[in-house]
Amino acid sequence: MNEEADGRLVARCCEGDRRAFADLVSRYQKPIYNAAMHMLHHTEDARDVTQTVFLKAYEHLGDYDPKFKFYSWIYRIALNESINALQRRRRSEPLTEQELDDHDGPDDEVGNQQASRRVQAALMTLRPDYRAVIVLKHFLDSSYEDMSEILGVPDKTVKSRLFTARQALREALNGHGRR
Amino acid sequence: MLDNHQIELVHADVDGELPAGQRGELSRLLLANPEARALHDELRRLSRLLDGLPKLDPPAGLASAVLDGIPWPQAARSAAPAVSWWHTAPRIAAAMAAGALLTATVYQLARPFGDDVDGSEVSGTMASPASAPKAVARALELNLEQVKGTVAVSGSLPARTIDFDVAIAVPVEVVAIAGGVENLYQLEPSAGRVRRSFRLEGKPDHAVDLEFYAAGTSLGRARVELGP
Repeated sequence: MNEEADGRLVARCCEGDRRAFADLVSRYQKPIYNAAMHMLHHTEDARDVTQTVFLKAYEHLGDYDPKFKFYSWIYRIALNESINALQRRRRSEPLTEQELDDHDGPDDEVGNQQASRRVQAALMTLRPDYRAVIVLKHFLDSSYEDMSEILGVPDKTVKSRLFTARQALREALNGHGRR
Repeated sequence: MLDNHQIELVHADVDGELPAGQRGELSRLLLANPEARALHDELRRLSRLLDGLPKLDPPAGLASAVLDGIPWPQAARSAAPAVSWWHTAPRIAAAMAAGALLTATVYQLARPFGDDVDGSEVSGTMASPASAPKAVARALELNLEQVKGTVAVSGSLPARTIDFDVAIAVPVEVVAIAGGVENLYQLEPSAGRVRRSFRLEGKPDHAVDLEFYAAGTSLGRARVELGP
């Protein structure tokens, strides 16, 4: 994401420029929707979360500290809202053992639709905080530094959480998922 | 058994975050330690699987729904200085000129946008802001390169609406200036025509000026004439 352009858009938003906010929505709706989808695995909830994220971003734009990256700030809202949605519904959609066993192995072709479903299903077996680091790293292309900023935890914690999340994901993909 | 530092090296490499100064150390580890090689290979496969998940397009209309749900401050709606990109004399002048040049025609509304619109109002003029509210329904046929269809202004003050019935292939933003107030709308393409109605803020004297954008680039301007 273009931080400098983001900063200019945010400044314009704060001056009351609606078009600038529309540009931010246009720029971030896809990554935020994808993050919410991978966190929630539910189209309607992801859509609702995306709307809430932008509404909260708009309402709190005045609190945004420009010394942080805008995308870190809005991704943090997105993850928090996704986790809130998970807590509200308490009905994650974990894969069944059968779903896990129905597939060949983790080295299926990447573009294979079954493999994609299997990975997403395995992702849903992870705890939300582990799922969040996977989403940040692989779907939002965040660096360790970005993840640290977004999650508000030290770099070392980010790495440790990511390693644990991957270990859990590997186990889920190998048919030994833990909920 | 790999220690934490060795595990960290492997993960950092897979994540593209291995410092240059540690590449040699990782190479030596991978050459000498089969467990490290196995972990490295497995993490790379996992990363490929994750990175290969499709990037989903947001549902059509999401951006519009987001913007429709924003509680824009009243001041921003009515205060021209808040929108410096548009509210400059040259741009307004250009919009007025462009409105006159547009190959679009104002015509009497063929389809009613509300039950309270009668024939006399359709063919008559818009009520002045000071007079009793009257229903107004004027439409414009759009023939821009990337936006074709109609846009109409209907309803009575203060609850006037603007209705789009257009064919578009890309997301389009529309800026509508009514009585000096800027309105911003987003139209998302769909399989057929896009039919959306929005509230139109402002009290236009006799016209609503429109500018259409895609990805920040102007597609053209238009003007819905409401009457003298």
